[in-house]
Amino acid sequence: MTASPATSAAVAPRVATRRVRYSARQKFLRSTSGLIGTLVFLVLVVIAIAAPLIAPDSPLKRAGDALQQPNAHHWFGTDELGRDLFSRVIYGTRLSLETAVGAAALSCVVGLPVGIVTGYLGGWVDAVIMRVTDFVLAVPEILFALVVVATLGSGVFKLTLAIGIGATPAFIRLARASTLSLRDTEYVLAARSMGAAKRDIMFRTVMPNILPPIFVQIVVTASVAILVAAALSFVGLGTPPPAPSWGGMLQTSRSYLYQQVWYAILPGVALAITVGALDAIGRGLQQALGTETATKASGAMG
Amino acid sequence: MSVRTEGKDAGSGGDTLGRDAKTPVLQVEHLVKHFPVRKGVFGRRVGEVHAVSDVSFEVFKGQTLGLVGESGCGKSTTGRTVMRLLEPTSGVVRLQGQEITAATNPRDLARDMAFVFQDPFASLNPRLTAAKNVTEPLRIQGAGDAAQRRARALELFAHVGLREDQLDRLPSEFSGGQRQRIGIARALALSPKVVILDEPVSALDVSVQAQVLNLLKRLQAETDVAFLFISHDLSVVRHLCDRVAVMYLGKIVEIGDRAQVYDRPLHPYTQALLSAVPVPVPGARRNRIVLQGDLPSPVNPPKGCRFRTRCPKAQAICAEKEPELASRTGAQLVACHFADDDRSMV
Repeated sequence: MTASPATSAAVAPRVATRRVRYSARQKFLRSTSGLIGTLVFLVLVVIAIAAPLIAPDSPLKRAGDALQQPNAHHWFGTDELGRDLFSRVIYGTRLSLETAVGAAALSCVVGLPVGIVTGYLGGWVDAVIMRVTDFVLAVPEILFALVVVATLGSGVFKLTLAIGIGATPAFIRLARASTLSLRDTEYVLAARSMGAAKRDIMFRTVMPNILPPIFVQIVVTASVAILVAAALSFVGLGTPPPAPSWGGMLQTSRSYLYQQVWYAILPGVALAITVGALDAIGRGLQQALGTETATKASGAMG
Repeated sequence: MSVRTEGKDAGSGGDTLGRDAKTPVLQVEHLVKHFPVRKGVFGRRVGEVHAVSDVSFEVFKGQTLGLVGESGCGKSTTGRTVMRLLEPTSGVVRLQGQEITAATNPRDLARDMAFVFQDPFASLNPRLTAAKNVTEPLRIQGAGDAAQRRARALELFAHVGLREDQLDRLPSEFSGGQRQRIGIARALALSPKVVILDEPVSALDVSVQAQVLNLLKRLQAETDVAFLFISHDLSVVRHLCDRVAVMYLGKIVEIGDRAQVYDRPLHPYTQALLSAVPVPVPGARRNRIVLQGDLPSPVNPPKGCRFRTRCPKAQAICAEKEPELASRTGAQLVACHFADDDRSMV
């Protein structure tokens, strides 16, 4: 409220909270969902990285008879081409996480600075960027990704790109809204009074202070990306075969439900665990950061 | 340097020789700040908030000018406009004789003028340690390396009465009074000539207020810095300020030395304000002048004298002619047609 004339009425006395305050990190690790989510996710990351060491067979080559039930050699059984399902699910983790991390990173790296700049500068820059953002937001993410993939063709990289672009407007909006709420706080005014350049204020003063909600958004985006990637693969527009994508496996398995029911169940379980872990992390983060942002939001001007 | 040099001050090499306490370090002349009132989908301009209307004052080296007035009278806006946090509608601000214009580099301005904010809980960057907060001005100026800045932080901490082991704490680990000390240390980091203090103690407990006020007094004596002290609290202003300016609805109605204004207020508004200050003597009687009505809207201020709608002395002339801020007795300026009508209060 810079634009208001002096409002200097007696300010309610603000009492410093004397109770012990936990840092956001401590709070996050104390929350059950945050802790479990992180542990599960770390295990998934290890699986993705060490896939060649863990998987007993190649995900792409025939390892035995087709459509075997789970047994000592093939823990999850084999698929219609005789490939080891356990190996394929393991390698599928890698594929899923690549898409998730790629899409989240892309949308954050683009959306965060754009949102901060548009929020801080305002004016016609803001108006133009926000209308474009609204346009992309108005289209459901999956539909948007579908159109992009249909236009550009399929492939892991293109899929990641499509999901990343679709998720960017959410980052722009979030970063913009957070920046707007900080733009007239006294510490941003203080930076201006110290003669800081606009770029300095946007990326050294504002950005570190809006990161908490951005972290949550990154995790949410990653989990949505995995689901969208799986959904696109399921309708045949995602990762093309023979790549071991969970969505693609789910799709093919439909034809063999009576012969090999595990073929459908295991990729689904893997998908559920991954998305569940990310959601748990998101919830934990929100809990840990929520109170912190609430205290920060307090503050009046005179 | 984009600061325009005035003719009379052409030889401004930053020398302080020959400048005595009577040299104004900060001159504000006919400062005006209007805010547009917009309405409708297209933001049509339907009026203006006359937040600051033709305000002039001077702040002298090593002295404090108190700017007092009730909520919404434009005193904070004045401070922010002088600091260029807001662009003035018109008027001239001179710092050490040099005019500050829209072309003035904010970084150059920051070397000579600093700002202390009201809310110590909102004015420090919560992500930076106390030491980093205090030396932000140095970083922005590109002055010194990390070690030198830290040394300066330590020096400033000692100045404002904070301990070395508090350097690396985050603002959230300090109390309100301590945070305001950090804010003051930050303002003094570049040894400015003028510091604008916008209600620096009104968010603090009374006992802490006194500590911070005494700190300000001591710092001024040590560094010869000039303060523009904005407050709604008359007793705080009396404690700290050498001169006092009283604002009402965007205008200065009276300005003079502390003793003059407090002991012999000439403007009816000042008289009313002072009569409302509680007297700390049991059983003491005071003649309270109770003002009628509310503060008029600054969107549409009264014609003539702005105070006339609430003034106990108002006559027909007050609605027709706006009184000029003029001298009645020596250095004391007052904007009232009936100021000589002596009526000692208290």
